[in-house]
Amino acid sequence: MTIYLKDIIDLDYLLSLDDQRDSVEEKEKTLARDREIFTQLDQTGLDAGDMEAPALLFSWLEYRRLVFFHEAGEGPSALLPGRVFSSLYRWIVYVLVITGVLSGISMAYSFLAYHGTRPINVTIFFAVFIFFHVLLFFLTLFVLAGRFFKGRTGNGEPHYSTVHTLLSVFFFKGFPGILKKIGRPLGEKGIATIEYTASLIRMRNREYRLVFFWPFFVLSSFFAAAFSAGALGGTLFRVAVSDMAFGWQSTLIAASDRIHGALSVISFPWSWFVPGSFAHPSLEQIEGSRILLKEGISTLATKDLVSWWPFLCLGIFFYAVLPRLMLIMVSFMAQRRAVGQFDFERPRFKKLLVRMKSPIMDIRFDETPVNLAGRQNNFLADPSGADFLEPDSLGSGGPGPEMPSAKQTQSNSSHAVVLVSGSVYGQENFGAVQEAVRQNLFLGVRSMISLSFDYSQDRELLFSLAKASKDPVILLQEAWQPPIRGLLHYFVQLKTQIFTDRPMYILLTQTPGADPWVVDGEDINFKVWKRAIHQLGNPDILLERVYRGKGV
Amino acid sequence: MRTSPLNIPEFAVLGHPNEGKSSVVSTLAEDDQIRVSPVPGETTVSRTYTVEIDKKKIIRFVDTPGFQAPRQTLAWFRAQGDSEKILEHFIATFHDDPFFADECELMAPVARGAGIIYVVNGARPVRDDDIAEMEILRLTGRPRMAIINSKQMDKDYTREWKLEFRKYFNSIRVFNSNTADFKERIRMLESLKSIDQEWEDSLSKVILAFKGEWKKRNRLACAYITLALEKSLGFSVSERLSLTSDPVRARERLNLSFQKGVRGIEQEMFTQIKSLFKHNLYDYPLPDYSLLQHDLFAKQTWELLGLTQKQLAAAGAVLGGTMGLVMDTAAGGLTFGVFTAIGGLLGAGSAIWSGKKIAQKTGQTLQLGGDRLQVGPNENLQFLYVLMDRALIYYAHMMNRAHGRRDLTSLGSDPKAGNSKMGISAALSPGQRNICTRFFKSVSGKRIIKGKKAIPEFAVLVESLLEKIANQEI
Repeated sequence: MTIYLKDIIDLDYLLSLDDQRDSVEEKEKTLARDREIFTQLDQTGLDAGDMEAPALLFSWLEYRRLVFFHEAGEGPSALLPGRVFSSLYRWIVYVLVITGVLSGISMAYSFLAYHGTRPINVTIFFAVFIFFHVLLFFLTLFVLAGRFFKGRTGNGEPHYSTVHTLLSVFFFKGFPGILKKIGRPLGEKGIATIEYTASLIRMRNREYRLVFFWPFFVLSSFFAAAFSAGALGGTLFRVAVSDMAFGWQSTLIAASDRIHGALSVISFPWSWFVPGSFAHPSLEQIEGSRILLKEGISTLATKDLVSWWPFLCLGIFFYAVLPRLMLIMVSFMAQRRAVGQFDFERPRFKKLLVRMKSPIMDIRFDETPVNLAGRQNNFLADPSGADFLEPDSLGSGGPGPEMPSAKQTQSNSSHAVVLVSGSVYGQENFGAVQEAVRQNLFLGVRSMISLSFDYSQDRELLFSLAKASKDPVILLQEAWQPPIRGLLHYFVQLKTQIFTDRPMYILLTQTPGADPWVVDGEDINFKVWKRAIHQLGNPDILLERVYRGKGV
Repeated sequence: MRTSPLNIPEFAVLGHPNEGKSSVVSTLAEDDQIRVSPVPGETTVSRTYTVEIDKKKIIRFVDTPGFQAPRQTLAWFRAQGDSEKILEHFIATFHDDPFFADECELMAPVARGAGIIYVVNGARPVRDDDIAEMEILRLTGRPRMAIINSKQMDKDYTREWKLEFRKYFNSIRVFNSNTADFKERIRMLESLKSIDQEWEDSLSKVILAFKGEWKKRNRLACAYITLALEKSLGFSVSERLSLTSDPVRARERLNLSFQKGVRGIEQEMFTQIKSLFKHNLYDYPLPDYSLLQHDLFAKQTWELLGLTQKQLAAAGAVLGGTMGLVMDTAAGGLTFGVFTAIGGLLGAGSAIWSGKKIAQKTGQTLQLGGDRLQVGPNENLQFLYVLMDRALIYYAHMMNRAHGRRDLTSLGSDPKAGNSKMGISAALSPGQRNICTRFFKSVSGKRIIKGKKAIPEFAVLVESLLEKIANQEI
């Protein structure tokens, strides 16, 4: 799998779009989508679980791109920064190559203007078109070496060169601006994607520096190679279509053999396959092309004056064009290596990989009521169809005697009958019960009767109790026990079927034991009981709580 | 075993009103959106929670209303005698009777094959209604487990409940809804396996899925934390200085901007971690005593988190510079080195951390002339440890609120033992600290090419720490 820089840029961009999604719904959608991509990969026969991180990420990228372009449709909005970067980069390369070639041609053409009066100065030509480029080339190598060593030792950050910085600025600011001005339809989205890529380099430059270094680094080599190639072309054109003459001058060097020696060394790269007279001028030709101003050029032989051009052209090719081409090739290889070594294990990508590889756990809930009557909010309905609950059906005797109502018989008794759950308030609590009733309801306790709180079982006992006295009835109840429907129904049965002629108190207490029985007025349980008793709608069922008492 | 319609394990959580049934379901399904009301009897309709893995249903829990008429229901059951279809019969008889509305609701899932999880509050004694409920459940003949919810342990009737439960249930567990964590959830599921052999396979798969989900969360939390630390340690702000601008004020402005930026990165990470643990409905506030109540750049934070002076000095040596020692010296003073460096107290700071040095760090921006003032990336190694400690403490809180309470007691070192550091980083081994140092060097601009392995190494370390926190090993 070949990874390109534009892929990495797009990957980063699309991930950042996901990161910008804030709402829970959007995040869940993202999660589901990423997992879906993985499952689809699995279903297409690929063993997605065993795929390498880059392969998985780029499968994700392909899918995201398809969706992105599908959603964006045609037009300027269908731009991803990777593609924009790639197009811009290609344009920049074209511009640099064309500019380089044209400037090389024009410079060589104008430099080689010969009117028959003074031959072209070989030394200056060599310095401008060969030596200067060799110097720049070595300078470039020096910068590269410096960067390499800085990176190795970890001693500070390798800064970009000025040329590099200028190129970056031109790429991200200048060139898009020019395109915009000349009406190239980049659109707002296109500019935005360029700005995104620029920020990618600026803000995350540690992460992306390696992959962005070579593309910018190589731009200057494109220009340099194109310039030299243009210069070479211009020179050859001049040589082909006009009468040229090259000569050399020097005040310092008098002996031509030293020049010859230097030329032999310089022409070493091509002298092994180019014929001798073509590889570089011979000693005689060098001697014959020396210009002495006081003697003029009329004495110089034409064959000597033209003998330089093959050497100069080969020099441009071997020292200016070829090294730059090699540098471009090396840069491409280095770029490919840098992209290949890009760290896809970084947390930014890792979280996507985890999202893709991990199943999504979700909780869904639904409510389907079985008993529609339960929704009628009938807090205390009598059990219809429950004949089994009636004492008759259980064979425990008929209904009790006709009892007068509470209004018919008002009790003035100073004592009460206390009804308790035998399993909660045992006889050992009798003293505490007396105390609680006296202090809170100002009544004495005539008797404390244990009940099972099952109407069918308690019915007989309660009827006989009702017959025996007219004392008010107090039911002790633990406050924390919720007022469930069955319990309230029991209370209502007691009040409406047995103790119809007297008030019935429900006195809330805490659990008998070491703790006081006091129930706080703000206790949630007390409030719940209050609401429940209120909903019963029976004014003769009175709710009280133990609110004071030292011994209780 | 009667299977539910989709042939997945299903459990109905039954009990008296207000016993903590919803808390149990919330723990099992791990969803804080499950209704929990302090008022008994609020729930009148069963709610089914289906856990799905990649849209495939794997288990169902039913949160039911509490028993409202247990004695009357038991009387009916007894009147029927032994009947295989007793539940269906009950529902058919009373499906339109409001008196038995709640009983119909809670019986329905059991009638369709659900296992029973009976929940009681261990802080209250056993009462006759409870016995009636247990007897009803026994008469259903369904596999059943009892859970004693011990959320309020001021009174403990666990022993009494256990004695009673042994007569009616295949399995008993004590559960605290306030402290229930992932492990408790797994233990509960393991217990459910034992109540019916036929559920073993499917429940084993469920447990495996839950464990996988947990691992995924840890890995994502690890990625969020590592990414946030990477961003924070590489974060910088800069401003171009004009001839008329006051550099001191500009620096103060940049310092504030820097702090705001780092806080923003941290907050973003906190939000991501929170969402991992499905804390959707309620905003779980951090406890008052949590170290995270202090600002990231507050003095207390730097005093209590990060490495000790000695550890920092050793780490500084590893870092290859004097930074650690110098910063430590600065930290031993009134403020902390990093606070000095980034907090605008440039005149009072150490020589190395002068404003000049900060201002000189301009290499990260494209600069074409003019003076540019830059604050960050922070070069104090302690910054990494403080950020890391805060992230881990937050994770502990979110993973389990109760677990998160440990941040002042058991995480890191014991202050009574003379070590003032409370975070986890102070308890890291020298090898682990080396990994942190390499990560720091890699992400804060100290190293580029060789740092490629530093981030994955650090991520592995963070993941292992998260796992230890989850397993309550630290």
